[in-house]
Amino acid sequence: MQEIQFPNAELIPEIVKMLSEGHTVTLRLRGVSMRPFLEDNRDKALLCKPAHVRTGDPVLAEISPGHFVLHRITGISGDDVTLLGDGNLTAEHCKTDNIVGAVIGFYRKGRTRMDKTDGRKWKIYSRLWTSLYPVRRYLLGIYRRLWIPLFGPV
Amino acid sequence: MKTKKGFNLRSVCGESIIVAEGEENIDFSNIISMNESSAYLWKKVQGMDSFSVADMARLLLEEYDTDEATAMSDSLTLAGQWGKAGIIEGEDVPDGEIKKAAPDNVPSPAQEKKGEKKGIFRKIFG
Repeated sequence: MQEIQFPNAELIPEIVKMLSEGHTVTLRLRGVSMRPFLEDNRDKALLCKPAHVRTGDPVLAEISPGHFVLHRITGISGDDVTLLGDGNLTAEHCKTDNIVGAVIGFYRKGRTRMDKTDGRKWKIYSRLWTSLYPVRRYLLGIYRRLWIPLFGPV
Repeated sequence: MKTKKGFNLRSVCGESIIVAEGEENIDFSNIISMNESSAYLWKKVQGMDSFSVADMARLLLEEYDTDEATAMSDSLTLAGQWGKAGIIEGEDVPDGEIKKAAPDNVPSPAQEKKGEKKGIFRKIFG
């Protein structure tokens, strides 16, 4: 018996099926593309079936077959969706049909209290971080090279 | 001992796994994988009000070609692992250890102390 991790390409389709059955799913997050708020293998997301996604929402999307990301929507134009991870500098594109999950909230740092995506903390962080996009490259660089080695992830 | 509620066996990507299931939510952040024989045992004992290591050994002997001593020791190890994973409860759960596929993330005492500090976001916005 082991505690295991599945490759996302295989696990997420199963999760999508459960979401579409009306369940919510808690998933551990991998990668650093949603820094600074979310950290690799530390934080979890509570997902549900997407209903009315809007610009600014973090979503689970299949950006190419078998490649799933949890990134923020930065633009919707008809069927075309633009996504950008908070910790990324380049955007991705997909169709509205490729949005497979919406985020109810995040559990950070092993806490049992959730930071809801309709809560004040997430909203303030979102407004602040997206407005800093012009200098994001430098902020992320400082965060990665100086802040994390000195103080650890926020 | 008995199985805790909400820990159901699911088949995902051809693997038998146990995930915590609430009324609505399915928690995929901690997945426990089961090999064939432990999945078989889980299915059997899940319906029982109470079971012992001897019951598990008996069930193993019914299904697999093994001797009693091996069945007993395997059952003891497995019950210990289940106990450690927190998916069974009772006073007679034996001690056990879990193998982890991912590197061990148990924080050291120093790191734990750090975790108690108020998060930076709450410092600023809370």
